[in-house]
Amino acid sequence: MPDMKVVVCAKQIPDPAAPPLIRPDTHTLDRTGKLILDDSDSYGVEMALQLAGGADDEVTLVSMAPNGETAGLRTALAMGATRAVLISDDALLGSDALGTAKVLAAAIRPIQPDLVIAATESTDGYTGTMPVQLAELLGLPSVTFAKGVAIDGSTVKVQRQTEAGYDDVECPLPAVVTVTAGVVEPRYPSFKGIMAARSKPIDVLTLADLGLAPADVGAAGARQEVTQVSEAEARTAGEIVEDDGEGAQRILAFLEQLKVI
Amino acid sequence: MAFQAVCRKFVEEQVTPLVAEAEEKQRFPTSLWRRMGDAGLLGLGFPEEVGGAGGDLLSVAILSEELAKASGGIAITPLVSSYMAAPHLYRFGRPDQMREYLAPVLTGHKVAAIAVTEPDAGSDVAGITLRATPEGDGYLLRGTKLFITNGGIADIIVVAAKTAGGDGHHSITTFIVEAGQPGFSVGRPLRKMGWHSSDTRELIFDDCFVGANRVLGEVNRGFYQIMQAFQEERVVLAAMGVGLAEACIEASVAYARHRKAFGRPISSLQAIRHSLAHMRTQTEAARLLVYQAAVLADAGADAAQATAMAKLFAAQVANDVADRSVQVFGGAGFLEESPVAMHYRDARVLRIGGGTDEIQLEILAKLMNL
Repeated sequence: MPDMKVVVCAKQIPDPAAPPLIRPDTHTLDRTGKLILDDSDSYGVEMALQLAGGADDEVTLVSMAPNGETAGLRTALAMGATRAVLISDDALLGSDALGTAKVLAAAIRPIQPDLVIAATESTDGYTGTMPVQLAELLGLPSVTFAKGVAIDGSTVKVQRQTEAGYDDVECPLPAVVTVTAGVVEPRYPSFKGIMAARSKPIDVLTLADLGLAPADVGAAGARQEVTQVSEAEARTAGEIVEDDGEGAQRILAFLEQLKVI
Repeated sequence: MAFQAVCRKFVEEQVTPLVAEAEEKQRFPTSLWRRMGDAGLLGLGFPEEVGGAGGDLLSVAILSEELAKASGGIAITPLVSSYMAAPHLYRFGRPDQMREYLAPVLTGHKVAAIAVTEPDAGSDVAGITLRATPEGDGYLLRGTKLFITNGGIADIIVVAAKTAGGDGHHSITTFIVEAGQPGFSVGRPLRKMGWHSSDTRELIFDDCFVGANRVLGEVNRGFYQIMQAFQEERVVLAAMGVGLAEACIEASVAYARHRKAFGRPISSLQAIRHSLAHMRTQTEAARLLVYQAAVLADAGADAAQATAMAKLFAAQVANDVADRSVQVFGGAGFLEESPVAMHYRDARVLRIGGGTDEIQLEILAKLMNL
């Protein structure tokens, strides 16, 4: 397909390797510090680059970050994406999944992409609801949990992950597809890519640029509120069984006790 | 520093998980060749026209630093291939030689080695005795090379040989030899104090015929060619010293915070915290010397003094920092499974390979017109 246009929703998140900071007032993650490309989205970027690798094809990253951060987008641009659109506005602070979907939809609509790719869920928020809300707002069909994606003419063919294996699903383009980790192996940005990324365009837009009212998004428009955050229970130490010849039986007994077999 | 972040991510994801097994089996994990090649990490500093990945010596130094944080033995293997042997092919190779021998090295499809050192000639490059005698349309190589990194795994070996009598400065020529050629064989892997996952061999040339088309550069100009390429090699080795020291500091700081003595973490004891602060300062100073040497070379300026200083200082700092880190760990540091024992063993060679401390001091003394 000539001039394939793919949009990748690329979230920039606080480095998961660093201890997370939760804002005491909103019970949400403090995202005011340095942000990096969500690893979950690197799969989508790679998938897009493989699907739209032609000279006239275009991979556009669309991202929303409250503090104008572009480091994560530069990483994805260094992988090979063509350009990026960043929506950054103080009024976005406290947006819930639907608020985010409204903003991304408004930014994606004028691009008129053939395909929109998003991660199944982000590594910091984990709601997993934004992509389907986005599809609804764009009026596009969506296929979730893709472990394989191929384009055939004006159709996208997806291997949709299930508990037992995968379903083969087809859907007309344009469409929204969410990809799982492992759909493809993300490339490492090359030195050349990093250098090229420095001069690739990142359009920074505000809510006004998108024609959105502050009341529709951010904390003001959020229909969802995090009321409480508590620490996950610490993992207890496991039981170590030395195999004295009856290891397999011990495992079987343990699994039976858990009623998983 | 975006490139440093990529190198760090690559090393954490692709190299670190392989270190324990590679050290144990004393074997370089071959899957890394293509992975590094695909990520463009084997062609830094080489132009795209010859199959390179862009970049410069500073980017090579940054890669070296990050690789050496994981393991010196793993680090040195691709670093020798791409940044110590391949530069000879690039600087002095004809276009056809570059196509055939250089390009596959820069993508990880082939492995290269550089063979200069002999049993009786190390720092004294002019003193090598491996002979290349004219024979038909080429030369017969006869003699041995020793301590050759990648000797047993290389597909392409750049070999220095004497092509005339008299002073070695004007009688050495470098040749391209391919593994498996008649008359060429390798000894058993040499067991070393450190760099366990790196392959080091004796190379034996028993009337090994090399066609005249495999002469690299000019006949009898090999000494000067080798000296030119040494500059890059030294920056790489110095950067490895910085990476090794950095890894020792990270491990020591983590351990000192966790380990308690006299009722408090040892990081709060002045003897330990001051030692860690000293390690940090020395390492940073070494890093700046290395970056300076790389930046000068990249700018086409004279980097001889900066390179000698960087090599000397970074290798010594690596040894001092590794020693201090073992001290921070105490008895635990003496155990092979401690994160610093390998670095302690790996540090020592950095004061020897690619020009000893004494050679660097001699270069510096000469530059002071002493």
